[in-house]
Amino acid sequence: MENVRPGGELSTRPLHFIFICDYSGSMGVDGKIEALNTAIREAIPHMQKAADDNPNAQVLVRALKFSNGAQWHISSPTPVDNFLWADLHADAQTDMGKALSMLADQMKIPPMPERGLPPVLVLISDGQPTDDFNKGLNELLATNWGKKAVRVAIAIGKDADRDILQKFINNPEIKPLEAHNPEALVKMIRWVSTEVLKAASQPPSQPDDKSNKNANVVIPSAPTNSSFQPGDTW
Amino acid sequence: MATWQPIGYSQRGNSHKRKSLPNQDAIEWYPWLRSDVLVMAVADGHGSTKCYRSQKGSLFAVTSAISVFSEMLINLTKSDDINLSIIKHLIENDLPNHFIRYWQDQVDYFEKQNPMLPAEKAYLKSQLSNTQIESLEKNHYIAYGSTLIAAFIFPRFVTFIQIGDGDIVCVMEDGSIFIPFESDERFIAGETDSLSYKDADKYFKIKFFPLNNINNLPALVMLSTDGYSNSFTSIKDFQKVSTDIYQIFRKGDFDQSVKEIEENIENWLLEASSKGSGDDVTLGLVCRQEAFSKRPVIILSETKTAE
Repeated sequence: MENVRPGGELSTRPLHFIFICDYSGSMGVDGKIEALNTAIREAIPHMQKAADDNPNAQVLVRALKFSNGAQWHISSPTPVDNFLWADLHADAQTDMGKALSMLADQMKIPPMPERGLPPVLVLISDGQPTDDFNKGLNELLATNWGKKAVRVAIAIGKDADRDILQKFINNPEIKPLEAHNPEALVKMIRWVSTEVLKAASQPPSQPDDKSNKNANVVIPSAPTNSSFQPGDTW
Repeated sequence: MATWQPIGYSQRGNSHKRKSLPNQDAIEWYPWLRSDVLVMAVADGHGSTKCYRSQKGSLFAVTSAISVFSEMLINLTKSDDINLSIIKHLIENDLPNHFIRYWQDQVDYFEKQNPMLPAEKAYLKSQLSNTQIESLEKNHYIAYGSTLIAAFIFPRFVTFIQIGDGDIVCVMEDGSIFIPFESDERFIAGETDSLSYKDADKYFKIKFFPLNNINNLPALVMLSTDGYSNSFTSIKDFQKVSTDIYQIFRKGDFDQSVKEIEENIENWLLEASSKGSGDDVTLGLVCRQEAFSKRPVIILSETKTAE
């Protein structure tokens, strides 16, 4: 008996992974931007391996940058196996709100699909926003995908605004990650690019946990955060 | 009189195979053979660390549907004069709580026979946050959390019920698609409603269809867990499953078509899971024999959704 599978085209589920990077003037001090470029570039092979562990998730990577305004640094959702990092170079302001507004536009349906895995949004900053952060954040959280996204943040150096980063995360059980030197930044970027990616790519169904609005993906324990120590660069 | 043929299968997902986890879906129907009355139920256990017994929860969900159906059948056969308005009222207002009680009773009995071991408690403490542990202590049904989709088919009415994600697609005799429940925009990124909610009755969706004319009956009812629909590129690609199966019946002898589907359904679902979502995939079909006894030329019309 002929066995033709009923139904249309099958496909794995897309998982959008987006770096949101601060390239303000202060990132040009003490080698921060160079360390960020290195950390992301070094994380890519590990991301690819993490993605290989779940072939049913199609990991698509891109990056948004913000300084004077915000722009897409890598605008096309790129299959992780083809993802290459282009260096960022420090500029001036810290228009984080604008970046979140642009992200909100991308979290709408379309261009996001109706069905897919929760996006992973990684905000990396060393300072304070110089524009209307709350407006951008509200726009992002007003979209279904923005609300359901796994949002993590990395604070580079002691001047990063942790309260703002915590607002972005919008989950009291997840704190901003801390990087006070290049090695810590590499560790944190690798963790979000692998462990958080894995958690988002194989999420079980989650009933709406009304006590925790961001509970649809269980994030594994983060590497231990350490506060600024004498000898730290940032 | 309508005669209904049930067919179904549940396939463990590739992601669960890789992690050596069991299938969290469940499917059950009654009676097992072709009949003029039938219930089919499909459920999807949540499968998270917090819902560590949801494999049982989904099983209890489908068996509870059978129990509720059997009770309804007994009550209906006792009565000579069936008032559909009263039945509709009872189903829409009382069925959810009635069902939940069946499900909770099964959970409580199982929990009593199988209390949590110290090693299990220690493992949960190591994996869950304090908030999550507190919520489990306040509501032990969370551990068994599951969705449920069911079709209750009687000679004079059909009822669909749903809590949580998953899909019901009907194909009418003319080949058009009818969707009893609109998709819920909250159910993205794995979020769903659950039988384990303290106010779960408020999250049930129920549709009651009185049947005055056999021609108003669907030719095919398809129930599936979200692992199946999530395996397709689009909603239309998924809904095409129902019309393709409809065409299988249209082209051949009914019994032969049933045999063909029964022989191939496992492979279809295996392919869907491995090339698609990776999740557990469950498909239930209820096929009306009389709908396929005629062979006109079929033109598929637009998909209609219930208002």
